[in-house]
Amino acid sequence: MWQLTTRGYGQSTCVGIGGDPVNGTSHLDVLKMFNDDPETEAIIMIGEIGGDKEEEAAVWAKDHVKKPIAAFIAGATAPPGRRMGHAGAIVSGGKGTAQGKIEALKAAGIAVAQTPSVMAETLLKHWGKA
Amino acid sequence: MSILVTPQTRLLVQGITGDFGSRHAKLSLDYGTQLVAGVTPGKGGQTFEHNGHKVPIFDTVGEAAKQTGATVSAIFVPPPFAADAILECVDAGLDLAVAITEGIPVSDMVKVKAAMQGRKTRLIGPNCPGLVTPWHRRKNPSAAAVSASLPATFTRRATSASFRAVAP
Repeated sequence: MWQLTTRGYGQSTCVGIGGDPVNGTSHLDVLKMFNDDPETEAIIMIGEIGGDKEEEAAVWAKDHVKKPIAAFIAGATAPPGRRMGHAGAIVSGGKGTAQGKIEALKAAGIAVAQTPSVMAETLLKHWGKA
Repeated sequence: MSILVTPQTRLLVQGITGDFGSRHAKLSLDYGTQLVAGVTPGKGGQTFEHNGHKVPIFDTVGEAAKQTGATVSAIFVPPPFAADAILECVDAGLDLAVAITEGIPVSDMVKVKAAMQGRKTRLIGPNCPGLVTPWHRRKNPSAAAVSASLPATFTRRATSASFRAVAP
């Protein structure tokens, strides 16, 4: 929020979907809502290791979302098998790695920020505003 | 426009008399959120006060929603009771339940998910930082020109404490 606000961009809504493995609303659910919201012009999606919800959102976005999307995936250095703070944040059986997610996002035309501090910059560049 | 919540959204807080719940209830009031009710079983009839705001406390979500027109709940209830708190929102027919609580047993959440099938209430979380529609920035004339015309959107899974856990 800070990165966007200091660059002169407001936010329509910011949603934290939570880090538990069984939750109520996924990245995809929120992405659909933002896609349908006429005042939302661009989207930043932040994910982390574990599960396949980011990939699911990316696959849908590729065919349905015209708005520019930037993403960041936390946990690039996470050792396999270790739970990283959140119950759902675990690379398990080689699945849910940051690298795998980043590749899936890129394949869907989503710009991926390498570090959290360049998320707004990555979005604005992808959006053609910077 | 925004998604899920607007500045007019009427919010209730479950666990408003607890340490965490009361702290964030105060932050929400300071932020301008329409916090219209609190729920703590056994403390119905009491009032939560902060900076001139007086928020009535009810024993149940159903009663709070009926009396105040609240449609969204922010849940700051300890893990053993949080699943039941979510189900109370579902039974009361709220639009949205935002579960901040960390540490709800996965087995509880599996049951909650099953019970929510086909029901009206949407759940955000649990173990989440909440959500915010930062409307005040658009009311500020100096920022309105840019932010109203160029709103970007931000979805995140909780990864740090940099995002204040106010809901909405």
